[in-house]
Amino acid sequence: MKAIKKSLPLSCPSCASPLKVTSLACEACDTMVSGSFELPLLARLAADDLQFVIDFVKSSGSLKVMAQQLGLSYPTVRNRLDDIIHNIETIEKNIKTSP
Amino acid sequence: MNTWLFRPFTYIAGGKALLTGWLIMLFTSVVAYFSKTHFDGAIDAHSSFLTLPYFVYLLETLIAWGSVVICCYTAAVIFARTSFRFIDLAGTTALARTPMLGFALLNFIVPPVTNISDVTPMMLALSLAGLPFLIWTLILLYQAFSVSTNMKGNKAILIFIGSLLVAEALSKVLLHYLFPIMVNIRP
Repeated sequence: MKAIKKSLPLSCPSCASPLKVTSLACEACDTMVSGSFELPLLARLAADDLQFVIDFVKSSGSLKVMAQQLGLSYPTVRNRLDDIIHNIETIEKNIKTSP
Repeated sequence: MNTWLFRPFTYIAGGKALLTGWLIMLFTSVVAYFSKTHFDGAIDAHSSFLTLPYFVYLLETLIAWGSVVICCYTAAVIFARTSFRFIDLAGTTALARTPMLGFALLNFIVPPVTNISDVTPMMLALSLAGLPFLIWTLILLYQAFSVSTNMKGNKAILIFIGSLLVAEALSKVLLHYLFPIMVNIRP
């Protein structure tokens, strides 16, 4: 059977509001923790955006190094970062306005 | 393949693009000298029967590129919402002029028109064959502007068209004042 790659759902499929974590489970002892937890800001980014942020930190925040590693031009990588910054600002705005 | 043809600046920009672009512009001006092609405007290319000194062809190419850089940079300073580097804009716009080499080469087989009776269907077809090179250059120039300044969508297209029109006017003014000096003072 083909393994399905799951992605973390970030917004409600019904009303598009940001989702919260309401339960966490320990797979070793089956302990369940219930509550209402906010997802960290970075966890709300799309998977490829989050991977870009991880790569950016790993390259000591050097866009030039990242551009070399990815085989892309400097402005292409910088534009990607600018777009992620814009996404983060949008997420922050949504968090503030959501009930 | 399509990315390399129409969006090469995804992979190359900055100093490397500027140096490569300048070398191609230099080679294009040499070809233009022999095929009597004039790049007398930011996005202009014409054939001529006049034989002028080589440096006229080189200066025309530099003015055409320089006016695009100045106008696009000014527009980006005013409208771009993120920071950008001048060298990216200068480099990518220099490299974006590469298809003009094709236009200059094509002019070896397109005879210049001195009067309307010289126009034949064959010549018209050859002249139209140069159109894809101009369209390709325009696409590349827009991509250069878009990638270098991170501007996208309709707003970017309108700003780019506006910048290009101002660049065309600027290059015409510069050539108008420099041309008499260029042809009178021979090195």
